[in-house]
Amino acid sequence: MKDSKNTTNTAPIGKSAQALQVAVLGVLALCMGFVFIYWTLVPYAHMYSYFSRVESAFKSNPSELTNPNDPIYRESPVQLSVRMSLVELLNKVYESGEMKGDSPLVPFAASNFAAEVARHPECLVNCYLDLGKAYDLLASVEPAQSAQASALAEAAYKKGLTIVPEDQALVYAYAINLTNQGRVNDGITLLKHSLAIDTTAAYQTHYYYGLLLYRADPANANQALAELEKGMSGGAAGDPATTRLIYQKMLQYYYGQGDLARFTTVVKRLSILPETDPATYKKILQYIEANNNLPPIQFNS
Amino acid sequence: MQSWKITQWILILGSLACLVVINNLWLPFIDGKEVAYRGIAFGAVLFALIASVSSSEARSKLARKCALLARDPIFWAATAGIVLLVFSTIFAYSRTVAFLGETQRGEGFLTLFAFYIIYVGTRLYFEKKEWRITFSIAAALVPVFFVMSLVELAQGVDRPVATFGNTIFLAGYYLFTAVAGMELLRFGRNEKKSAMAWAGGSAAVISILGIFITKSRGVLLGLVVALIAVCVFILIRKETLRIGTRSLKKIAGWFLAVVLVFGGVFYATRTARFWTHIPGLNRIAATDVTNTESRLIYTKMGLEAFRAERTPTRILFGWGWDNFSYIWEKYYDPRVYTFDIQIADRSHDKLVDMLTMTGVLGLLAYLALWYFYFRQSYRLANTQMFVSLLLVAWGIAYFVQNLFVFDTLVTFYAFYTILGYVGYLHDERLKEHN
Repeated sequence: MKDSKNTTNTAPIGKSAQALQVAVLGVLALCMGFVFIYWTLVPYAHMYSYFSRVESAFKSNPSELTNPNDPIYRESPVQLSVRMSLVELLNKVYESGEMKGDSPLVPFAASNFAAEVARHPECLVNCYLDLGKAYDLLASVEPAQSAQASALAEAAYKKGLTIVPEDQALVYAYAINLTNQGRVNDGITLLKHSLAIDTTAAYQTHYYYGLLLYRADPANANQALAELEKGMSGGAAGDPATTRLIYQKMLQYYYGQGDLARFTTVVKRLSILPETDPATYKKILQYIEANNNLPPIQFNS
Repeated sequence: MQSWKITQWILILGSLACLVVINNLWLPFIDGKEVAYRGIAFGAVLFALIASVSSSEARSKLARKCALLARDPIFWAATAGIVLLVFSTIFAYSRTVAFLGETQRGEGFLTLFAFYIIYVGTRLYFEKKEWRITFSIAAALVPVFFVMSLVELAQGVDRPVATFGNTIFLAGYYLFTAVAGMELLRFGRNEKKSAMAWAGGSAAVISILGIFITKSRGVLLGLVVALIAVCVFILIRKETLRIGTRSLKKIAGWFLAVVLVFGGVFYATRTARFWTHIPGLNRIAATDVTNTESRLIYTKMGLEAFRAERTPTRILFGWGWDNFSYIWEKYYDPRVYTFDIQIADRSHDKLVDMLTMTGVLGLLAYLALWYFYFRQSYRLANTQMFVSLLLVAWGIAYFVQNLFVFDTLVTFYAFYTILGYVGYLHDERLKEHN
């Protein structure tokens, strides 16, 4: 190989310098080889294999993932992210309505993720949020384990709140968890506290606060509606099905009360919520505008 | 010397790593590239070892190159940075995260060390031919990214990502490919190879267009600041500078005037509908506050953490790489939830990132790196004005855009490659002097 022009000494280097050069490169090669194989190639190969089996596991064969001969070695740097991603995926599938009954993947994912969270003290706060959601999901799909799973979810949220006491995502999830355990007032207290410290618009907090107020007692409808509207006017988003259900109940309630102003507010909101019948609600609004009165409506019981 | 050539080719492969996207990994745009860059670093070291063991010529050549490298202040600044990163990792809030890296970024000490190895590798094993091949590959990929971006736009994607997963990273990489294209243009003109010149020039132009399509305000701002700085630089130089028969000073003067007038007109008419049709400028005109507000809050969190945790190790070595998430947790500001509900693992300001993650010493090493980069690039103006201007412009653009974002795997590669290239040009300049 021809050398380009150079200005340094062209004499061969001494033997000790040569030995040092080879030694340095040797040590580097060993270290980097270990890093590349043990901490990079192998973990990601395992991750690839794991995720390749997810679709099949979801569709028909859960044992693709629940097989105890899991190749991902215990100290693998991808353990936590693999377990977390399965939990997040299951939650997405459940929220989309595609989960068929009680999937064995749910308890498997929750327990595996819990084990990893316990082994990783450096775990960030979102681990506890996801862990809580995993247990809440388990409570939803396996009624027999509902009480225990909800309690475990609560423990996870509480742990997360010791790390970031003001984390709104944790607060909302915890408040819903308390509601599901029949402790709506505890959830309301939690949200009130969050409202006190969340010094910005806190739209999402207002939304959840309204939700829980209504769940605690439909007689709280006036305050609940005010909070829900405050939240959603600022862009807060919750579960569309839950929001729709509550507003439809409020529609019937305010119609029965003869409260035209609040009835109109509810109709306006329903007309823009997803998966409602906007045409019907727009007709109602047109009637109110023309007659300044409640229209004749027959509600399905 | 076969192994020497293999080492060179493995390092050249770094310019292709930006293409790696592997589905069925948690983060398809990140994880595959992490494997690629670490693999390239390992492969280069392995074959460098084989070359050194098997050939005394290779050992002598490597020793000569090391002697030359030892005269490069950029190398010493980069080495200081890596050494300080070791201490930063030892004293990190979470050593595991600082060492292995967060999975979602694929960085940590291990990957940053891999990039350092790639940088040193290019300094020791690259000659003119290898730099030309690297730039050719980078430039050749530009139409690929651009076409992918157009396809994404046609599919309704607002800001295309190509193989980068994030539009800002694509924009940052386009700055590098613009340099690669311009260097190819220069090679082609000097050697009267019109095809190379045209290919390089086209790649540079498409790169700039690509930046506009990504609508990345930070990168666009960096580009504008860089162009203004270069024009001022040309205007204050005493010597007569020409492109062909045209005075470069006149061109720079006119360009500066156009930029200032255009900037004034744009600012005054920014609410006009016309600007909504121009990619890039529409986003600047829209002045979306969401991103800006959340980033300001992250920056404040970082500075608050630096102010509050005044132990010697935190001040000197920081919290450790990829440990900003723990700052986010500990100094969480509830106001950020309105703008961004996810955990932030960067302050979105490179200098604040360096201060918080690597401490005062790490930040000083980083700034020293930039000082020597600009000094070396500026000195090239005595013999290679065009290259000097190009590298100074890239440095300014890259530095400014990083004040609003952070480095990722592909931009680390671009950064260290340009550092390596400046070092190579510095070596060539020394050889000519001697």
